[in-house]
Amino acid sequence: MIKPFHIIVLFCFAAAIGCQKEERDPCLQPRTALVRAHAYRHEDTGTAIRDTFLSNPLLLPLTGGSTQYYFGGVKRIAILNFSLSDVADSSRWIIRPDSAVALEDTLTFYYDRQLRFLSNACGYTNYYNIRRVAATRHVLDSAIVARQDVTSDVNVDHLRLYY
Amino acid sequence: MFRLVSLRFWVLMQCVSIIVCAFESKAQTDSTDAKKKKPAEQYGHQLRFGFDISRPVINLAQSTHTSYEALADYYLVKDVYAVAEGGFGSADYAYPDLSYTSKSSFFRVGVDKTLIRRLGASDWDAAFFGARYGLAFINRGEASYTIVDSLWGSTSGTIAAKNFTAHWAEIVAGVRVELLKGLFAGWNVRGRFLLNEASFRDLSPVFIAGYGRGDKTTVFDFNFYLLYALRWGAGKEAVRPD
Repeated sequence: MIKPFHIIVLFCFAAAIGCQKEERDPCLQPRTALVRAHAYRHEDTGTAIRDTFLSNPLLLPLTGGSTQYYFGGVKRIAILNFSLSDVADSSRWIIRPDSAVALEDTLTFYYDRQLRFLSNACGYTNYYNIRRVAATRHVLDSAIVARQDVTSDVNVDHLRLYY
Repeated sequence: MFRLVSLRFWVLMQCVSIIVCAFESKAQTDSTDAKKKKPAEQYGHQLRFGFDISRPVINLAQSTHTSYEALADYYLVKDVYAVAEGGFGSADYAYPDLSYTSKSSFFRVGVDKTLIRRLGASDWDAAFFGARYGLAFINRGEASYTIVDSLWGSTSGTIAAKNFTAHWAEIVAGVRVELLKGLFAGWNVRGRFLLNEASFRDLSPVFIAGYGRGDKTTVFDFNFYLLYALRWGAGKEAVRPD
């Protein structure tokens, strides 16, 4: 025979578990899909190598509003991340390779947006499909789209910037 | 991924084997009954109805969802019970970036096999394990979302309502104790394995009554039941002959 006492103890245990306040799970994945770009420079041999020669690069998004945001680097960096607008089908960024030198180019991203459900913890986000990238050529030689699909995968390079 | 599929397949096969064993046991007993004038009849028939009393307690503690569960089981033969369970519930997922409501109802069918040998016709206490097949019907209402972006500006939208069907395999183990004549208390723990996870990739409801977290493919749960038994056809007290 099984003692009713065991049942009571287990009920108390179960009630203690059940009464714990259920909180929303933390979001453990990137919520924003970013365009990842690498800078390349041409060698005398005719080849192009990926490098971190951009010193203190400055990124300025042209949001169309009065507020402008600067993403300034304080050291040589290898990867530049560009976010894209979810309210328009194009976004413009100014890129200055060296914050101390007033030479800069404008990158214009044209893309399609794809609404994507991440999880109940993270909600929705937009993935993008880059149609093309237009760039001025004050300092920049060219901007080549290497991968069109922009997702939360952080191991993909989408854009190559040749100087 | 392969291991997960293998695990689900194994669980499914275990559930099937338990059910098959139960029915084989019944079939054997039926044939034996014909020869031995139904020896199991001396234990009589028992039909039991129960209600999960832990759910109202949990409902009070949780603001996001409510659910209610009930069961009925019938003593088949040789310590095997046929079990049917059902219930309903709802969820209210309300956060600034994602909000929706959902309603669901479910039923589960399966068998329980008692692990403890009965002492006699009046001994209905049991520790058991069993298997279930569960099916739930879910209606997720229209969802509202906001993608927060302090740089370019936030966007909002709605996702149309959608109906889902979930089905899963389940293994269960627990205890039933007769506190008073015909009145039982009992608990059980459950492991559930969603069989159609592909249907839940697009805004899966956060809670499915009878299953649990809709965005999880493996769920563990417990119940605490209060049950009442109806009995008839009981013979005189006797130790079961094997």
